[in-house]
Amino acid sequence: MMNFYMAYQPIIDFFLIAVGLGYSQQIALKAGVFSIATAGFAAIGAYTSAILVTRYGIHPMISVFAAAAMGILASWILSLPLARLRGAFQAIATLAFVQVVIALLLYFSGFTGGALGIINIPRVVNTGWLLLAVGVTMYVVWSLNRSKVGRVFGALREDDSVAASLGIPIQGYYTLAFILSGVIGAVFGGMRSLYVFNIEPVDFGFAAMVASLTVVVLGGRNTLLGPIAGALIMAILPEIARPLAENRGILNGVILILVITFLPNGVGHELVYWLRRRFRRPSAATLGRTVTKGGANVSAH
Amino acid sequence: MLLQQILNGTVSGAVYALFALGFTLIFGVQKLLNLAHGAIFMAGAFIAYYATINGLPFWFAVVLAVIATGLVSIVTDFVAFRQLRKQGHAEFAAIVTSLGVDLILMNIAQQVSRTQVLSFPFGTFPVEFYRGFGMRISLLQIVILVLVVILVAALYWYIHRTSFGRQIRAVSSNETTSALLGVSSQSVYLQTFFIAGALAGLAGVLIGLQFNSIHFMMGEPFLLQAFVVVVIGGLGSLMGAVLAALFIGIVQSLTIAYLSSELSIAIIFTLLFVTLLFFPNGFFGKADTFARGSRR
Amino acid sequence: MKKSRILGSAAVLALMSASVASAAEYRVIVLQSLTGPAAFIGAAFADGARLAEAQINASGVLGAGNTLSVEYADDATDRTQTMSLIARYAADPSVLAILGPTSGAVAVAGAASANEMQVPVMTTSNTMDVLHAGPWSFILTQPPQVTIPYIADYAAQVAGVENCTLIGIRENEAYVTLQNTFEESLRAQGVNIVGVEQIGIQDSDFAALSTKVASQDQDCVFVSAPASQAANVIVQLRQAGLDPEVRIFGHNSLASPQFVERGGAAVEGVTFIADWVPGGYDDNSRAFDAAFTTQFGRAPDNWNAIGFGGLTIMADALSRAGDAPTRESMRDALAATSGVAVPAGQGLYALDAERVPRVGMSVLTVQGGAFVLAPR
Repeated sequence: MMNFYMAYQPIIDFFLIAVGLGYSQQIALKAGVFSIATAGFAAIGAYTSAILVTRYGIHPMISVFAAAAMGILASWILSLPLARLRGAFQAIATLAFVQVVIALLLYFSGFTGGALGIINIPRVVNTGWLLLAVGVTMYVVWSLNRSKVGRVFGALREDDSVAASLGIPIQGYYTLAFILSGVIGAVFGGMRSLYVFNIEPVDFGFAAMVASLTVVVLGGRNTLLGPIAGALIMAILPEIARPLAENRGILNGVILILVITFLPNGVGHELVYWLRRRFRRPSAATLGRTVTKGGANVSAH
Repeated sequence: MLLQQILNGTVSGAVYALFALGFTLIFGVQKLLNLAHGAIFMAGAFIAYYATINGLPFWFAVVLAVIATGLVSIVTDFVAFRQLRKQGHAEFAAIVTSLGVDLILMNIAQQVSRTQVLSFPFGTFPVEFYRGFGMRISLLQIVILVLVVILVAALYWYIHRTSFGRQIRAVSSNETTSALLGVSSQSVYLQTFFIAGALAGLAGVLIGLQFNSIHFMMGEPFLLQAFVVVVIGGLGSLMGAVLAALFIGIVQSLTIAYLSSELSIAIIFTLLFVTLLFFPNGFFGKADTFARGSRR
Repeated sequence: MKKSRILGSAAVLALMSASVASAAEYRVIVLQSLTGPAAFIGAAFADGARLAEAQINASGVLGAGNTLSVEYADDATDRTQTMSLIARYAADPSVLAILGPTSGAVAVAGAASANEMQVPVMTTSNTMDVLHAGPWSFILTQPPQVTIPYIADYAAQVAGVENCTLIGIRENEAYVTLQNTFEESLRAQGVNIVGVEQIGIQDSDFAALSTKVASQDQDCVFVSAPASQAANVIVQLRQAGLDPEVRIFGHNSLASPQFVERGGAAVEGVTFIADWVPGGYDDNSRAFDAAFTTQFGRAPDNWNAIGFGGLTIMADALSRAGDAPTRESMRDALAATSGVAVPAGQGLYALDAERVPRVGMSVLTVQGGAFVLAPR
């Protein structure tokens, strides 16, 4: 068992980081903000931590809090223009944000190390710290889901004009969701940089952006289990596909298409749904849902 | 040098336009971002390359590539978007499924090319330069410009002057209503994806020829570029996409020439951001409610 | 391997014929980026290593009947997978050493992991940070401060250039370091740097850049990019009307058949350094060229030669690591590498006291579509 842990520890740790970034991505989608800015927040957090620790000798713990503060600041500033946009336009705007962050990291090479990035970052984050961070994040998201804020997020996602007509200050809630996304992304970005020894701008490019989005879409956009299920699939997929060697891209692609097409609410959602049906006392409500499964899926959005 | 740089930018922009037209067409009709568009563009260059080195005449290789990428694009629609359309709420999911198609196509291309950078054999297209007004222009650059003008005009005519075009426009503005009026959305999707794919494929061949480089990841920078073009041009506006593509090509050229090549990406994407902020419908888009207001 | 250890005592060996020891199978992992952006290095490296594996096992260099068992692992140019794979192979006691990961920051991260888990890794990279990470991590290729002086001195002293423009890709750490070292070296020799232009690794449109550079006043252009992209930059520079008198220089990435294939007449006279001289320059390298061409149906490039050399160096260390090699003995044997014949550089590979590779470089130029040693 110990040997198993040793051999698979990086997979477990990277899985936990992916879960964290997944929550950053999910919380924005949950409130109907189609942001793919998580990679950009992670970059800001990672560079904040790495620069503070390696150049100014700041304690790593404090550097992660500084990363969180930077995440809040960046997401708050970004939320101002974003609030004026909707849907795919938000996606394109946040994509532009990530591209600008990377271009600037490359340009200000005196401060950020340019393409070389930042090296010799001490590895102080381990599985325990990551578990703690994921636990705290999950607790926050869980309590949010149960609170009024969670219900408002749901309403915004469904139809923001209805929410507005009910007198809900929708702008404030959009901003809140986006700042939460920013702070979670920056914290896990910062922790990642304290785990991987060195960081460089390409770590946070198009691929990273797509990875966080994929985790959430695969796992489920609305359930607490979503990022965990999604990150699990993404962690296991390369391992399953390894014997295919150079044809792995094809398998990755096929699985993405199949899961999205046939489990449109995500694997995590289906799992929760299946567990409920299995273990709950069948009440009239759940019976009704079983019968009209297709309809239930649509109304769950 | 200024005139030469504007010319350079215009040629680059013309090819961006070919790429972005298909992308904006699909977005206009479907409201979906097709991330596989870059891979389809790449496929065009690959097909033409392998046809050429296997002895087919170049003009035939181009026609073959254009038809084949049109078909690949239809298959992409079938695999990635068709199911999602039936389910509704496809915005998020379409990004992931089209990414899946992107991964598959890139993987195949990487295998076929053994990760090598390819280029058309020397002499595939005559290298000739003309001088005037202190500028140099190659025969290929002239051909690209003329071809783009013809294609854009043809597409404009097709969309705005034919009954097929009216169907496309009807479906893009309201699928349900147009279905009630007897428009087959299926045939509209087939046409849209074929045209989009064929344009991307042609752009791939031209880029491969002009810049001497065919590579399995060559589509990615163009895809990012297309986002910018589409936003600045205004979604659904074909003329907007063309003007925006030329504008971006020229801005990029001038940035490299007079500021710094390092800054060109930051400038382009900042431009995108500013446009979204102050002109969410783009500079040339119709004042519809795509960008602002309720999503559905 | 366990069996060989039991049988390995002198008494038993003295009685047994050599064929009994044939049970020994030495396990080495070639961990490279076979897919993803760095595949142009990793996949070529692996092909070279495959040829070396076949030759090592056919030659019996590891002792009669002993075999080298190589597993080829792909990290897809993804750091997550690199670190996962190193941890996995480190936890498998039968793995003696890892040849990889490919390059750049992934190699630095891999080196840190390898030192933590005490498994020897020899990365393809050339950054000194890998060596600084600890005694278990090695670099296979010579760092820029060893290689770049060959070309910088040639440019400044032999060609006598005075004003140089640098063009290089910005995202890849190895290329950036090479370019920076060249720039420093030229400045130190009093050469004026006209400008530094950056390009993206996936770019192919250099029209604007070429027009700008062609309009500047310089007698030297240095291009730091992979072979086909560099050829493409040079073709477009020529098309934009670059003065034919301007000398063009590059580093070892240009030593690939692709450079001439893509560049054609435009790359005539371009001068660069190389680990690998196409076609070979001595018996050993010519034999490698012939064998590779037979097996893969194309001429080898720089990375093929380095991959071949990498596994040859591993096998050499194995042959010196004792009857029952361990990770410790492999580490020490690798550190003591000296005088190994490889088809690269000046032909004999050694690590110096700081474990920095020394194999030399050749200065080549393109003449009549072929690479020849540059005139002095």
